[in-house]
Amino acid sequence: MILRPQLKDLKVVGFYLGKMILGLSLFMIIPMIVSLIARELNPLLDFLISFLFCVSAGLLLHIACYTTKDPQWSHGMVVISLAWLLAALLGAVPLFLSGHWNSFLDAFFDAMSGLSTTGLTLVQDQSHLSYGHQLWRHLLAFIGGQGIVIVILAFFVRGGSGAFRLYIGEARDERLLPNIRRTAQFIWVVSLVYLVLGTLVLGLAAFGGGISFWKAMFHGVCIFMAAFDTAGFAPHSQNIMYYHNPAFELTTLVIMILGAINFKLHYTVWSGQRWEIWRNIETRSFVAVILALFALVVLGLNQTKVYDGAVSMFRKGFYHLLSAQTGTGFQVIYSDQFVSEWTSLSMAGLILAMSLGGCVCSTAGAIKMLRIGIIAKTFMADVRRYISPPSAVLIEKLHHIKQLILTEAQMRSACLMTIAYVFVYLLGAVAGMLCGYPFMESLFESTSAAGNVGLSCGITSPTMPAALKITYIVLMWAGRLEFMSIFVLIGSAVALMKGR
Amino acid sequence: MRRTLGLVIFMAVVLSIAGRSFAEKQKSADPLSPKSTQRPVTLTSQEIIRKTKYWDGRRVIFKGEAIGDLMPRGDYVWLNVQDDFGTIAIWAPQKMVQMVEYIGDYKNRGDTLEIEGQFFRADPKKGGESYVLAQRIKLIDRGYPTTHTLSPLKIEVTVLLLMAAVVLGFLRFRIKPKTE
Repeated sequence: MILRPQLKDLKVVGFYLGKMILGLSLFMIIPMIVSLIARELNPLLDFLISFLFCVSAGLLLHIACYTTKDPQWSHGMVVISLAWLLAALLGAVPLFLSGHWNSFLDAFFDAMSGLSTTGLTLVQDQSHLSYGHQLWRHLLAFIGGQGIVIVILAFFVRGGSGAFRLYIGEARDERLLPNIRRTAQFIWVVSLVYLVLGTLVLGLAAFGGGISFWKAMFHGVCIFMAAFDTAGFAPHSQNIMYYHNPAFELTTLVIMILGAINFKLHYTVWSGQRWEIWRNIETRSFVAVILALFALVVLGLNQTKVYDGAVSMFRKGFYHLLSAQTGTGFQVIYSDQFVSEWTSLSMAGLILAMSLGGCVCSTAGAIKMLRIGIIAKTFMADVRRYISPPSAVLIEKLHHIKQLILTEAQMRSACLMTIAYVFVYLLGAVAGMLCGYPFMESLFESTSAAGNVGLSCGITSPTMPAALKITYIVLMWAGRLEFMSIFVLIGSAVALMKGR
Repeated sequence: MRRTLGLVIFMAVVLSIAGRSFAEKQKSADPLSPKSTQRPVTLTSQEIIRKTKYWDGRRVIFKGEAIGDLMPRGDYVWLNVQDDFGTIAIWAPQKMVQMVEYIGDYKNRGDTLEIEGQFFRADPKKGGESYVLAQRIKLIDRGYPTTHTLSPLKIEVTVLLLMAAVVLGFLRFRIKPKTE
């Protein structure tokens, strides 16, 4: 029997959504200040309208749904899935008002792409976009990368069990500190420290590459947010190729890796346990996968011999592989070149990298390295079991921050999530083929969207069919939240209509 | 330490495979190859990008707006030029771009330039960059500062939303203690 949600359940959901919208509105003050400094009045007005709209909507929900109840598991999941949709809808308002997106759907696509740290974009005439709007796109990625709920938890919610349920719903499951609110605050402190350092290094690299100082710093902050949050946006349509700067590319490589590493691992290393990097199953899996796929990409690219020399191969082949594996999606070639110059073998290497992704509890999307490590361990354990005597008791262990015994539940969960991701990648590919695109390109773009990567082989453009835009929006949303919150949302909607 | 050494060796082996054909593939970059002496063809960015292999090493003419930044590197400069379809990178001697005054951004329409030069799809001398090596740059249209007028509708909406936010803010602080 399905129970219909009661008014008090809807109030809990509405109340926390109100808090989230108010939190989002605070972030709009930053591009407003930037627009003011840059004397861009129209963008300032765009952000003022969006800010006031968010404040009004947030207050309305807060008043109408006021409650002191803590959210339960189902509330947490529904709040999270709706929060991401609402944040993308509201985040799209200033983008749409700028006039650089053809329709609200296109602006919504970019806002969801930013929040889910994907990086696919439908912006037009990007070079004439204002500083305020440029910053907002990248800020959306930063907010989404850190987690919208982390914002609410860090500043608006008491750190109780209700807060933990919201935290889990956002596809994070690692508590760094005993109090979940302090965990959220720690994540923000770490991110802000990296933001300052990363901006300085990137800004100086851009300055060294010939861009004026303040503009270089602006590029630095934008690219840092896109790299650390593995989003892949950039202030110009050529993405990282715009800079023609190896030092800049090298810096982004380091930041992409930092962004794709588990936050708990950051915390452990910050606490002085530096050897954890080499012992952790996720970093080991990450390195093993990167090396194997790099060999595949190099073999593929060598078939056409498009990149002569080790430097070219590193700057184009390895860069794109790491960009795909970390889920960033930075590009240093034109999208069309993937199709015209990369062979199927090298494309397959990139698709595999995009589908596997970075570490859990990071800003990277896709299946993730912990699950890959667990599946590899499970496979090895099964092989060992077959070759051992029947009476042997085999215990499989893995090192993830601490020594753990691999359980059946962990193995099942890792396999189920992997199957779910593969199914979604294929579903997106079928949608692409239904719209008339070839299989390889469709699979590439679908994996990029669902894995929250952002590399494009040219399908994503303002002229692609609206149905495909909506499909990719759903893929980005589902991929970022790792499906469960969305299943609970669908279940709640069914219960609302059919429950007793 | 052993693992790090292993990783370095692995990377070196893979990159050496990549570099194997370096010497034999210099012809596209050779300015005296037959491709580079043909008559230049006027193209859009889309036509170049979609057929990079075909245009590699050939002379092209490309017209568009200078955008972003002029990025000087020694005697040369990187410049990005955009038409209706996309953006192409230009590598030009500094003196060739001295006439560029306006670079396209939010506040400016950049100078429209016509660039004649040799296209490289992945020049090994530049780490695999795709660009046009400029041999001639001509100013077609001078850029200008753009004006952005404020929309009266946007101002009206702002005022309405401000009033709504003030009323709701007032209600929120009145209602909360009662409910609690």
